[in-house]
Amino acid sequence: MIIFLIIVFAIIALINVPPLIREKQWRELTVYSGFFALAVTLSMLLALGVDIPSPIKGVQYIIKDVLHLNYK
Amino acid sequence: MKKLEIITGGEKITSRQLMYFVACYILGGTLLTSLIVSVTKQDSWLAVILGFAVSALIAWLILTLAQNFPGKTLIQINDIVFGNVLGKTLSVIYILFFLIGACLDIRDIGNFLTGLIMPETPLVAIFTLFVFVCGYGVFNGILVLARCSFIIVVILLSVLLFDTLLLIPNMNFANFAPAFTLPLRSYIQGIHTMSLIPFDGVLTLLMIFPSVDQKVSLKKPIFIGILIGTIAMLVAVIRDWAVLGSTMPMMTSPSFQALSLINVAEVFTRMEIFGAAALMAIRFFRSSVQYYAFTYSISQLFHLRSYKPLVIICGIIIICVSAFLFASSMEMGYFGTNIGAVFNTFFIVILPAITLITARTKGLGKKGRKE
Repeated sequence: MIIFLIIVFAIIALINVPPLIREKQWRELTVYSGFFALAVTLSMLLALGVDIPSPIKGVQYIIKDVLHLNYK
Repeated sequence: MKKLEIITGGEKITSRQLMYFVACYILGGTLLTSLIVSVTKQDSWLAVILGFAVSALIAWLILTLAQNFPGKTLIQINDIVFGNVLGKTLSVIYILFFLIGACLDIRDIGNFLTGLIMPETPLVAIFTLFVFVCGYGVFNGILVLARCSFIIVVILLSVLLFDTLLLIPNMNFANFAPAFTLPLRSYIQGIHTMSLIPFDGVLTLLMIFPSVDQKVSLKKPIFIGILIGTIAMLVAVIRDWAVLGSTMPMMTSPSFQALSLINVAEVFTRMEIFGAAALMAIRFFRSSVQYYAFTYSISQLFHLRSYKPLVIICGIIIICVSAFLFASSMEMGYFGTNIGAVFNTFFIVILPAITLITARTKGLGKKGRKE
């Protein structure tokens, strides 16, 4: 699974990065790299079966237990 | 202006396309009626009608904000009104909201498919295929999606009409019998949910307005769009309740269950797959719009020349987040019925209202300068 993910990400990088370098869009490349790192981290954690805390849980906690605004 | 031309190829969304766009977005909510039927039961139709009135008010708020800053996206409005630091912080919050919106829509399609059609398929496999198609739509730009919306609206409305006609023998209007007997709290919850969850895309409209032809009036197409969407949803709710009656709240996808009852002379049976296909098409549109708003707002936040390099990578982020957002579809149902509306209120009503009030007091925007 991990090897498969690495291959997929390599293909995506090969599709997206060369045009950015060719057109010297360094700003785009920086932002792209940041999000690329985020995507790699998230999908690796998912593939390894790590329990990622859901943002919805946090929202639910704030609305339900702190503000008491939920219905039922 | 130049940036915009690269994205849309200089062409703009027309007023008719905007109308179908809004209608298509709301029609995507026909799957969401299951959120309120457990609360408002036989009076769900009332919640849909009154929810429409509230949606129109919210749309009016967002439109006022948009018309104050013509040709500006939500992210640019934040920068103008709140300055660099606070504006950027707010923009990040909105981007997270778009991300969660896209994930909820995609999660919904996953739950629908694994729950009813393909129970053995892993969710991530469905997400990946679905996001791939959405990504293709997003990559081609908002104009292509806007053109798509007409076809999707026609498909969905014709399927809805056809199915409703075939289901007439199964309908029993006595199911609506004790009307207006539920506690007031249930009606408030139903109206609140119906006005905010199907039309959470009203915020994504703020990312789309700059691509709309500036000469056309925005109000009329949007309100007609909301009206079309609401009428279709009303037909769906009334049909489903008349067919299924009080068993409807037990089902995760009542429309789908109702369609499976079609049986015309043993020839027209198993029609539900048509309904499922139409629902998939409309869900594709809904998810793509959220996906577009997410990607485009990131490119605006960092002042990029184009959002296109980010499309694939944002799609992967959406797939991952959809996968760990909820542990089960029960959890998602609880969130949608009891918490989602409150959550959306904060983003769709409170934050834009604060932005509008701040802009007015600071004298920013078009109207402020005139006074």
